[in-house]
Amino acid sequence: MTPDAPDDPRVVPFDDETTQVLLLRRWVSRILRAGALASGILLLAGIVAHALSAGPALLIPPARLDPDQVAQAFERPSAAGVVLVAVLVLALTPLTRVILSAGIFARSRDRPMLAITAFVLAMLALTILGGVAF
Amino acid sequence: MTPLVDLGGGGSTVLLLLLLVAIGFASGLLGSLIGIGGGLFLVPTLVLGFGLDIHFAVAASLLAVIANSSGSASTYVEQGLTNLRLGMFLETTTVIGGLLGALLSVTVLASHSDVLALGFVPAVVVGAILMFRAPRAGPDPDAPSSPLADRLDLGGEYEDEETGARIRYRTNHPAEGLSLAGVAGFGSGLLGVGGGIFNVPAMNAVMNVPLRIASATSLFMIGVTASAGVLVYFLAGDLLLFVAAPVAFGSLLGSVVGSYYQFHAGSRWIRAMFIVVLLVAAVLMAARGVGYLQ
Repeated sequence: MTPDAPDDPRVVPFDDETTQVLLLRRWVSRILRAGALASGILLLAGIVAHALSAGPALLIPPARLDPDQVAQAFERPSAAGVVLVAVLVLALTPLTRVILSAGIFARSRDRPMLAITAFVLAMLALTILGGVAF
Repeated sequence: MTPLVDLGGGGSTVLLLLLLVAIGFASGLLGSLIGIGGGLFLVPTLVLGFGLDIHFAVAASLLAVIANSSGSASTYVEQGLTNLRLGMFLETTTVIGGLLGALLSVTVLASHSDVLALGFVPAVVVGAILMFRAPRAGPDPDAPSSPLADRLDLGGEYEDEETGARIRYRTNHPAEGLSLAGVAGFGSGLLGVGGGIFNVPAMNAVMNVPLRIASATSLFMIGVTASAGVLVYFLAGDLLLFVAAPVAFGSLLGSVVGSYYQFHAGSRWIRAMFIVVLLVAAVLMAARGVGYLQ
């Protein structure tokens, strides 16, 4: 039996507005918590690695969101690479929860709220695409 | 060649990193307790205390705001304190405002840090005034209805702290709320503040949202607003990794601790202390903006 089958007792009635709110609460809080936890661990690891490796003065290269740099961070892990990934995880956590919310609104056929979240999503996507092109 | 920024004039790296974590922690704690992002405290501290260019301070602050939002909003969302539909509705204009503010900062004002520093002053003063005024704890039961707010179901219910009763509230003036949220978003992108200091009074006083719900909803919203802004600064090369990282980490820790206490310290003495800090910061930022302070 598929989870979407109407006679499946596990199926949540999606036309129930309260169910939508409860789903939103559950998943949004999980996404935010996961993003905070993952980025927190990565930030701590990167900061400790930097503290152990850096010289007496804190010389800091400004970072750019460069796809090559991100790829390098995975290939050759360094303190800066770990922090870069942490920053990306943190910065993209709100975006992820907007995507998730849009999905929940789409499933519950809540068109006005779907349009609202899609608009926010489009603005964030535009920022990333516009910035990379720039 | 990658330009380098010497922060701290020869101070020990570990000490500087710890200091930045501590500052982030303080801003995250305060922000989570009061329902704001903490940028109003962070940006002046980084500019005046560490001699950072305000663009770098704003970028680091925005990352800390996201950390604060993610850390504390997860708790408030789970507990049902956050009005998710209202937050997402208001995010439409805060995101646009955040984008425009950040774009203005990294283009037109890229080489005008003094102007940005001066721009911070009215934001801080308005923020202090808004914090000073007594908020309305509960919703107005006689508030007029709004067809748009009703259609989008932007109202909700909350548990009264004294009686334990669940009270329904309806929101109104959505257009005004959207406009004010857009202004808050613009301030966020331009000056690195979360915008909560404007969002909370806007929701509370204009849209008839109970104070605790407004604070939790604002903390939820500012993550998306700051995300739009920080991506712009990041793409412009204004994000100093090892300034932003410890500040964001500290802010994350502070927000988790703050959300445990749940706005209890919305109490007068913390607000009063914060207002004094803000006003001192405003004076120092003004001095920096006009060149009296380097």
